[in-house]
Amino acid sequence: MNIWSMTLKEILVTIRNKRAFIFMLAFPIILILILGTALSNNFENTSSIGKIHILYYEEQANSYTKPFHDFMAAVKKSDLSFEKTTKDAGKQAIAKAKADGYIELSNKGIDLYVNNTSGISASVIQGLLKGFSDQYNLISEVIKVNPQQAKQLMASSSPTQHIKYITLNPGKKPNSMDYYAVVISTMITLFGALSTVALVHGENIQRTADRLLLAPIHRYEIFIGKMLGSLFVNGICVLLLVGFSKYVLHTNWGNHLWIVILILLSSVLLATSLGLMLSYILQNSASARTIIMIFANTSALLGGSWFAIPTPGWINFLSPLTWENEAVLKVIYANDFTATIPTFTYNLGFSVLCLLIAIFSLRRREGL
Amino acid sequence: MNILELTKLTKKFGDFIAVDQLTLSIAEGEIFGLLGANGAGKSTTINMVSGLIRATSGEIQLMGKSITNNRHFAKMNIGVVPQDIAIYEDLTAYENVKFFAGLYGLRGTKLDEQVKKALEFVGLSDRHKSFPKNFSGGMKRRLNIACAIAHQPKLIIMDEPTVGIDPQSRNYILNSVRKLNEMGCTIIYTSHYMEEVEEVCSQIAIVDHGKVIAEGTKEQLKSIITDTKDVWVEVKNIDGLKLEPIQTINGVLGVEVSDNQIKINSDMGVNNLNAIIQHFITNQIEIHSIQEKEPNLESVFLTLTGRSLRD
Repeated sequence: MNIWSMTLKEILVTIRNKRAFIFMLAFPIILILILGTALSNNFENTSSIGKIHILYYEEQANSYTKPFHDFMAAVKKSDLSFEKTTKDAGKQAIAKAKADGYIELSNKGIDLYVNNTSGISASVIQGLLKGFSDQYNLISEVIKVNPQQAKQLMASSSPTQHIKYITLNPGKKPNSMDYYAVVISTMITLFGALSTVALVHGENIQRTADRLLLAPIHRYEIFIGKMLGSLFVNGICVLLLVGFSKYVLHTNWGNHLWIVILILLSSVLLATSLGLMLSYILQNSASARTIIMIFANTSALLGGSWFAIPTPGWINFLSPLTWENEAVLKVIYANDFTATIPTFTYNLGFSVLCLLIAIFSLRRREGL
Repeated sequence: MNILELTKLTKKFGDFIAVDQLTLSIAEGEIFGLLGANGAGKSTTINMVSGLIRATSGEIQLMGKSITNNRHFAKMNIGVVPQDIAIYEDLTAYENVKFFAGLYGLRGTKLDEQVKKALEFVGLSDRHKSFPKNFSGGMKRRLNIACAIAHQPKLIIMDEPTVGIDPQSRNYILNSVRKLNEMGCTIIYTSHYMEEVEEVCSQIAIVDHGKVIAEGTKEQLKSIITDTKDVWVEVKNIDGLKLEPIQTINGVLGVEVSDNQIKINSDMGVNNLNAIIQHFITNQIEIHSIQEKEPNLESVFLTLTGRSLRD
């Protein structure tokens, strides 16, 4: 019962501390909005390439003529224009970057010329021509085995119908607002350690530590009460933040929200344990706060809270936020749970270590 | 019956002996004044009695039970009003008292009743929903008291409960001390204000260098130094005053001059006031006022310890 009284008191004291509450709620929302808006270009997935202009030259009527004309007719609908030209004019146009591609058709085969400066347009032409050649080769192979079947294939209306195009799906990716909603939420859990320090050292500052020790309450009841109070308040703050970003900012939290929340709560446990450990091993509140600020900011930097880190190295994985962000983003965008268990293990292991140190320190001292 | 008995109580911090074989008995129903200068061992003794620190050696018995083996019993029966105001600024007056009283096992209606009683006792019923940050110093001191008494302890230790407050709040607190005593509580009262101790305490102990050097009622303590008295003479102009003739007056033990005031220490058994006045008249020194002062606790303390209580 004393633990419950202690927990309830901590909850009341913390939620009435406006500064702490603003820091835990308003600050991350503002950060999500600012970073999500300011760095939106870094998360753009599509780009417009405009109309693609292609020149072609047919040496004479050859075996490619009919299939190629069918091909041109089919792809013209997709903002691609074809213009017949001469051999020299075609090559010069490419050299001067006046066309995106030049195709030469002869009995020997198909030659494609592109200008290196054409970039994506050149790649698109190459991809289309590769598709065409694959289809043509397929028909050639069919002729060798079954000429009757080949006729049917060549007579078919669409040039693309008999080739199965397989595109590599890059998967869903977060936009900037989605990304920062996740990484700021995980980051703010770490800063929750500051409020835990305030709860413990606050007893000394307000001179209530002795009054608590005078009462028939065990020091471990005080310890557990403080831990539960801090976990509750920091947990609620993170849940409110997730709720706000999901329903007001309409950010994506995926289809497995409860797993995401469990990961975030494990981070809250880590931060609370860290705060308790520093409170009990350091008598000075300012020192504890400084260490937490250094730890949380370094972790945020390494964990991609400010700028996304496409391929994190070993040093990034020293930060709990790298583990958490990777686990949460995988759950949201790939329904992939492989990083979830390692993240839980990391957070719980770190928490147990911190709590053991805190308990050991508590046992050695006479006061609170 | 003694509510508290300290026997050869000792506390050492390294080589420093803060409390040295202190022996003291406090009878039930007393308002017991504990006097001592800073560092005399008074707070250390209180901290050992309340269970904040452990004694190096010696025995503390509360209501006949050793507190070493009955910590829970001791905590349930002791209420401490600390010198520093120990309340939560972010909890209302009611919530503060409720939280601390709740730690003593009070629940439900009983808890609510006791909290209301305590707030009423200290005159904060009408401010029970207010936050202490909006309170005056005196109101905070009263809330500090309410937090210590809501669980109805048998022994209340008040450590400098009137520091830094206005005279009105001080009177309120002193009246509260008397009322608590009338309700059956035994009170240990420490203060730097000697007049407060004289006013409310029925029994007083003077502690110095970790030991009780004198103990008794205020009359008994004053009787220790009743062999002398002080006569204070304030004159208009001290020029021309010769001290040697005063010292030859029958019974005069010493003369001190400070500005226009002359303090004449004299034997209590000799009536020499007329001779002293005659000396000033003969020397044509105009007297503004003359006072014969009885010894007070301050002078007792000074005589016994050689220093002022505020040193």
